Amino acid sequence: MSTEIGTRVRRKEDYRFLTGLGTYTDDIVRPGQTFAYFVRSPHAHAKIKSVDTADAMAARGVLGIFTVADLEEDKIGGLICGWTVTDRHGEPMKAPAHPALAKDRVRYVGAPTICRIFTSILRSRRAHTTRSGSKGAAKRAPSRRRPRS
Amino acid sequence: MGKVSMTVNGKAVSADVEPRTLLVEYIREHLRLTGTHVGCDTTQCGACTVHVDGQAMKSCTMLAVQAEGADIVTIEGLAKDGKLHPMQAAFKEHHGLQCGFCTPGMVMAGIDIRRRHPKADEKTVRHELEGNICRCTGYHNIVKAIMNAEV
Repeated sequence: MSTEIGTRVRRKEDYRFLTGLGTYTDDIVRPGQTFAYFVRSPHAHAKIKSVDTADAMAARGVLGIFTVADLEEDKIGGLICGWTVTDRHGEPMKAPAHPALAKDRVRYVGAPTICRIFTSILRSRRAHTTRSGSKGAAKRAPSRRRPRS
Repeated sequence: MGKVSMTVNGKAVSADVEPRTLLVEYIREHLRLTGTHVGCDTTQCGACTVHVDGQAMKSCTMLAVQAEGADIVTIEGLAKDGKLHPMQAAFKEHHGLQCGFCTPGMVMAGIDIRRRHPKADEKTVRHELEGNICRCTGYHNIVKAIMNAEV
């Protein structure tokens, strides 16, 4: 044990990271793998009047769509606070509801509103960067990927 | 769809791709060479840096069809028979990486920096690394690795 102190310790992971052989989540390929793409709010604060999933389903390669209604139906709760702290009176902090997908209202630019499941990552990018075709909610949302072509 | 042919890591490859396919998409999704990373997709982070005819290029910035006929080298093409390229070895020696996500781009950029500035000093290396972002190391050891690589 003591022989380790003061000596260099070689990292075991360097070879794979240096040769491009690391496996980050974006690198994983499984048979039948699908890809989730979140449609995000372009607005800093807005009410959601309606969600037209039919339009969002129309894009090529879309397998399905999840909205907050689906999460509620499946009794999937909101995002939880990792740990709560108490205030100086010992009262627990207030942890407001934080649905994983926006419910009724978005409160920041980039708030996830809809989750679309695609057959391929390229399809998901294309569907979110193509302006032609149907006028779904997805088309109005800002996309993570913007083609520079 | 359009046909595109190029050499990647010494191997001739060709495929039918949509004209808007980015070079990085071709490398990652078609060739499944996932060592080239997409960090920002907006040409800021440099994680997607590859060599196009010997020059460091951000592969999210060019179309696959623009690389027609080009000689591409990715991070997977540097080590020969399990032996690290001197730049890779220098990153290992100088602890120039932690999580490794930016590393492929850093190594590819580093090789090009030393090609253009064989005796690059610290100021030059730091300036040249403007287009490569690392969120772990604080750059100090990356700069040391690039300066000291025995290329």
